[in-house]
Amino acid sequence: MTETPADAPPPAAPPEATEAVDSVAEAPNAFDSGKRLRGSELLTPTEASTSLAAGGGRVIVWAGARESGKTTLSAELYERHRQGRAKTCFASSRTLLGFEERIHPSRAASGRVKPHTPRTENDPEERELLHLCVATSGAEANLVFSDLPGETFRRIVNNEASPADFPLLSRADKLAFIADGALLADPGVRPTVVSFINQLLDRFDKAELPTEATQSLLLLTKQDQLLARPEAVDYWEKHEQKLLEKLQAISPNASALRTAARTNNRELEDGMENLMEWVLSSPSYEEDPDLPIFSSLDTRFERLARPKRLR
Amino acid sequence: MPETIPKDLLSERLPDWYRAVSISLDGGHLETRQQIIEALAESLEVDSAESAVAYAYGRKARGENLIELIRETAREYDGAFAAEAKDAEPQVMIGAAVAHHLVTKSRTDLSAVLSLFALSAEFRGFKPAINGQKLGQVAALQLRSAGEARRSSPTSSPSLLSTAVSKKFDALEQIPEDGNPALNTQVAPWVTAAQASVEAIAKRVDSLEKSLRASHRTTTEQLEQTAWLLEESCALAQTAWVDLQPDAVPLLAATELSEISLYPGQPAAEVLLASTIYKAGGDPSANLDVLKGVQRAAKFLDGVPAGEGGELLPLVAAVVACREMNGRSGWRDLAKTRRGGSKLPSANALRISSQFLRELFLMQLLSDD
Repeated sequence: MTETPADAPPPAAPPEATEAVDSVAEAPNAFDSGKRLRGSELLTPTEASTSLAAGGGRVIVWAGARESGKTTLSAELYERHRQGRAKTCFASSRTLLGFEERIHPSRAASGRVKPHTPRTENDPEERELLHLCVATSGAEANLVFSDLPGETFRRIVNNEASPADFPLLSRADKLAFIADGALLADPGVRPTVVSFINQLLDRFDKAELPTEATQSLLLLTKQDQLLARPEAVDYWEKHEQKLLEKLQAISPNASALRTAARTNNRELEDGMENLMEWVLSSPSYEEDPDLPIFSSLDTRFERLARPKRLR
Repeated sequence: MPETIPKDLLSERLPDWYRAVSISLDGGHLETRQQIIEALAESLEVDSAESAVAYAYGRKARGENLIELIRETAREYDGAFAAEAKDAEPQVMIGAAVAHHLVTKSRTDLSAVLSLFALSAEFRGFKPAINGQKLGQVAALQLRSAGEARRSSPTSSPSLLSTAVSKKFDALEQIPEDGNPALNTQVAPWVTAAQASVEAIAKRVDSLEKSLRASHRTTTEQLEQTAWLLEESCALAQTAWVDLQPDAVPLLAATELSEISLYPGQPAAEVLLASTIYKAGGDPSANLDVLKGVQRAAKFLDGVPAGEGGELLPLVAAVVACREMNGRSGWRDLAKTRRGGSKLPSANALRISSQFLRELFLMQLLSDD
């Protein structure tokens, strides 16, 4: 045992112990850093804007009736990255739990017999946006999906609201008008699908939407259920062309796609890759108008620009 | 007729300019962004002009020089603002700020510098970071408008007649009031009236002289340019234009024109350059090898102002590099390094000549500051 000399100063307390006692009240934690720990809530437009501010942003709006597959489309585009089935790579998401909340009931692990997507309800705080950042060709794209409830579009069709009342509809870089393949397969309600889209396009046209900066799409969902009824396929092919022409009259860059996001038919192209390509294609934008630049030659020097030979 | 500068450009175009980086395009969010952009426009300086324009044209690395300024300015209006130089929003802010500066302070030398850099960026094939922004057109309009204003604005003589007249009268004593009554009631009013008349005439002469000096300056410029146009020989090379190598002509023509031009943005400049290229037997619309032209012209370009050039001064960078290394192997690599590493675009003789003219004006304006 070592003997301490009588006149030696007492050993100082270990510095670590002193610091721990003094710093308990000031211990830094995640809540003090200014970074919020996200739950499953979606983003408001202001919050989502910070993702667009980073660059490579696109705002995607699904416009369709209740249970036509709007939320499923967003959730499945996310899920394909989790499953490694997408051509792009998952980079990040600020609404990861929001996606999980929406996709989980469709997974076998949920214990459900049939895949299900929870219904979207109106959010009083305008938390209607899902965020997914994907990497492709060395660049990142920040995709902001709107999760507007079908009720919104029912109100528009019923003239209870105008598309101009919803800023997201004019802000959309990508706007897809959805036809529900499952309803088209049902002869009893088939005409209501076409009628709904026709009236929706009329309301948009009256509100002078979509803008030139929006790329539009006529999108059939649940194609696998449509294909089970050949007469429904004929019906849709006849009306798809007319609806597309009507859409192109108000949005010249419009195109059409068909998807089957939850098909079990391995021989059927589910169309989701094409949909992702459409989502990722460069957004349109309005160019500045040309300024009046003086373009003709200055007349004082016009003759000198091409001097004539003296004879 | 001078084109009208669109002073409301920022408020009119901001919703479209900001579309790619924000969801909220109306109301408070955009108003705050506009205030930030206006503040940034006020804080632009000559020293950071090249970085600002390069960043506005998508050169993200240049943002490192500006991001602190952008953050500090933005946080005065939005305490939560946080961005990195590589993000899209700060580039949009700077692009909008440069455009706003050009249209609201269109007569300043700083605006001319920004515009010349913007047109250099267009020459290099860079695109504005703001989708659809036509910053090159704004720059061209600013230069045209500022040039016309410079050429037509009156300039005072170093010595004013009205000042000389005032001094003379101030040196005389006042007529005493208690002196000869005849002096006060009859002579004094005449003298006072005479003094007022002489002073008014002196002011009028000064005003006429201002206008005459301006038109004399412009007329002198036009006469010198006309004489240059009719001259068969290149003064720099001491050789007839037709005897020069075609790829050297654009740079030599631009250099000579810069020496007899008052200010950039002259509408006739391209005509003068094109005419000289024709006179030398060349074709202004024919593509040329820029660096070959630099190598052939460099020995005649001792007067190019000192400096290394840069990303938006690529031709000056090439000329200086060629002269520093006496045309020896390696000068092209040095020039490439100084212009930021990327290739020069393929260009015709007139575009090369116009670009070199721009860069020479830039060197003049930057050295004046």
